[in-house]
Amino acid sequence: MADGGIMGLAWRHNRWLAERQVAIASNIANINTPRYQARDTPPFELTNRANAVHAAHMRLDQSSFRAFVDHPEQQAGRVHSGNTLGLEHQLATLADTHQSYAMNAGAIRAFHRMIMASSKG
Amino acid sequence: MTDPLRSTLGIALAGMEAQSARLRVAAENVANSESTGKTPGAEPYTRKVLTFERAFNDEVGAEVVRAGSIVTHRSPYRIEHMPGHPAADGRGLVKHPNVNPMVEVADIREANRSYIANLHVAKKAREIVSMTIELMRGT
Repeated sequence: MADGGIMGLAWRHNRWLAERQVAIASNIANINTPRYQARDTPPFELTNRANAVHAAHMRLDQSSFRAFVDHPEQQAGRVHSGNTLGLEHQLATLADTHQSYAMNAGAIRAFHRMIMASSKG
Repeated sequence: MTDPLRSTLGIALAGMEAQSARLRVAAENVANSESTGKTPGAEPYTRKVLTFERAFNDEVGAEVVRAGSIVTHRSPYRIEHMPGHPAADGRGLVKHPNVNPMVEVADIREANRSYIANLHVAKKAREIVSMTIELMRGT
């Protein structure tokens, strides 16, 4: 279980969610910046696959987390200033990220309690 | 590598500061919407506009928004015929500021909306940190 198993997966997902929050925070902070392009992290599936390659060395590929991508589907929503952001979309993504983080934290807590309960015998 | 949650807080704070500066400029425009000159033919108050720019913050470890320069708006002044006014020229015309209070109120509402959105981001980042601490406490 070099990749950490379920708890390792939950931890990596939380790490990805934290990085995604950076992208969302940057998008919301630049809501009025002309010609700002909306950003997002690559899908978790891609970053998780990249990390699995390095799992044997117990080292994360940090560059995969920091690879922001533009939102091609938001190009149609470009406003007069050149900005492609939609505040409602960003806030909804933020809420989704927060909820996912809470679920992962709950899962980690539950699994840890199971491990502790089984180790006590 | 900077902690992403700390970066999120720094980015949101920078966003709030930028919107605060925007509110200040809009408030100045509203307050001076009727400020004319004092001598005949003098120029009145000119509407100010705040620009936003991106800058990399080493402490935060991310690109943040920053209030840029304050520039004057190039729209023409409003001219009114007021012969007795101290700023009236030879024809009795007085230049009034190129400020439309309705536009400024709309700008203030937009700045307020953006400020609240940034505040919401900071709040959610803090909640995630609290969640992580609770995780350690619960186990």
